[in-house]
Amino acid sequence: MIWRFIGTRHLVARRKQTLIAVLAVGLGIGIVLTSVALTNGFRGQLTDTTKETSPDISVTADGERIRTYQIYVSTIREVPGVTAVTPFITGNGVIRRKDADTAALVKGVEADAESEIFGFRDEMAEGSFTSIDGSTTKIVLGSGVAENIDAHVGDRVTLTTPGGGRELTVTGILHTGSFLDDRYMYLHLDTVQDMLDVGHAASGIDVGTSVEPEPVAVQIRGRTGLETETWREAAQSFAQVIETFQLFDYVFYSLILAIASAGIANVMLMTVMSKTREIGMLKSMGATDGDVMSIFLFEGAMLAAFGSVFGNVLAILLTEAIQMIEITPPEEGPAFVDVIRLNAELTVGDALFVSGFTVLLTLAFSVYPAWKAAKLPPVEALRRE
Amino acid sequence: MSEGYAVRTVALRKVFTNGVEVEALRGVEMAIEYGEFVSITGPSGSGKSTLLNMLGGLDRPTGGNVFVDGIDVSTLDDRDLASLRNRSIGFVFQFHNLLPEFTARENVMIPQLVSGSKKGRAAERATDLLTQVGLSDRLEHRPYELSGGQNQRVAIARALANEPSIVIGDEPTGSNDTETSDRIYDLFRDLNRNTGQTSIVVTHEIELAERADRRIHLVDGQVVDT
Repeated sequence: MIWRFIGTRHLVARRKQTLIAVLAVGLGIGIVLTSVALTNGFRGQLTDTTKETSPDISVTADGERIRTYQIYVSTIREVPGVTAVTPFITGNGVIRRKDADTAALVKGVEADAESEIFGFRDEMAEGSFTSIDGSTTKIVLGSGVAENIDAHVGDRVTLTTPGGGRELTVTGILHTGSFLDDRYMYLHLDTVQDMLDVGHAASGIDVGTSVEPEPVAVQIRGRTGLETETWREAAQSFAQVIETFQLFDYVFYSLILAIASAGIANVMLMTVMSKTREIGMLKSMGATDGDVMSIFLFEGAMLAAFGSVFGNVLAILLTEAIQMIEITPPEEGPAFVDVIRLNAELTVGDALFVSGFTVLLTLAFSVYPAWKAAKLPPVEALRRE
Repeated sequence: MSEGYAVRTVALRKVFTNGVEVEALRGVEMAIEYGEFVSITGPSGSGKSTLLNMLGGLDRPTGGNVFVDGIDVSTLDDRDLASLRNRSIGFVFQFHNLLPEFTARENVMIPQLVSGSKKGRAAERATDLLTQVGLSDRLEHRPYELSGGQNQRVAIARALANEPSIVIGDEPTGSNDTETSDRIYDLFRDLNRNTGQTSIVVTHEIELAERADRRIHLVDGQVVDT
């Protein structure tokens, strides 16, 4: 293969130019892949957080309170795949201990079911989540809420809601590492209904499943006529926003890769100009237009291929490095998580797509210089200095 | 008829139209037999190199015909013309025009690789040819490591790589001193005698030209003496 023989030697002989072109393409690919990995990671993190902080299925009545929730709860319990069901009611409240107070959401639940649905059993910093079941005087606080009023298990606190106030004993501190810790305090369902003075009404029904929630949600909708939202649907609405931003990102990425590929085209054009006489010589020896074109296309493809390898290695290293970074959120204001760890997820599909796109782009950019070289009449090429 | 001739031209014309129209060849009629060693002479601008480019299939005539090995090259498309250059013609230019990134042996391998020969076989033949031109100890040297005369000998070996029936030299001794020119010319002559290949050499050195079997003299794009 004459094109491989000559093309390879050109690349080796022009080490510096080759290295710069490979670095340019590699940097382009590396940056793009790392950005894509960060977006993937963020989306994954968002999905995980949504999964951890949402029930498998949330059942609601178009924003209205559900009056006859007991019937619905019984119906939902009979749907295959459902493992736990709890009606819940939420409202605003202010909790006070000694001189400190803080506002948070009061959530009334059936603790055993809520604990199973959200996996709270393993996330108790102090006490027990199910301690509130059947009790009108016990409360479980999110760790952030507890911290605000310096409350611990056994402490007496006062909870004030629009429907009235009540003296309670802290029997558990919940620490999930998510925004729930700063936002929620949990009581038994009946207690909150009573405090909010809403009678037997629920804001919604949390459902846990042992199978994929989507088909179960369909069944629940069919049997109850209520609205459902699976955790995946909740995450999807965030994901859609991310995807919209991603479209802009892709335009930006394409520009980065186009600039890197144009750099290769420039190197190729310079090579063709400096090799004009050689091209004439090769043609005098019988090299066809196709042979000459193949030499330069091969060179372009090799630069892109090596650039891709370098870019992928760079992306892997950057992705690993990024995941080691930990950012502690500022103390002021509610924190959604204890530590922000930048998640980056590099997939084989993304690597193949970005690398393939760059190789194709580089080949497209190399076609002109290669064609220019191939079409040089031998006599004219030989005459050039 | 063109059969029986290595090269023959019939009413060969070449007009360059680069702003001003210049008729470089004006109805050149000539024939060179197989195995002949012919020199082409003429003053500067007489059309020697243009004629050589036509004979070697590097350029196309404006009118008339060029027959190489009995084939009318003016009827060939680019691909067939490239194939003819590869198989039937070997070029040696005034400046050696070796590829600088390649060793002497690799430079001689290139025409063979263009024709599809295997690397190993091409390397073997390149070694043989470089030995024939006295460069067996310079096989792995690159052009910048060789003298002008040595480079020109590599170029001659390269021209012979595919055993062409015609070897064309365009002032092959032009860039060298007298002694080196003599040796290169003698090498051309010896190879012609030993291989029976047709040799056509353009030179402005009359003394060298007269050592050929025959001299074709061009003036103003026409053959005036043959």
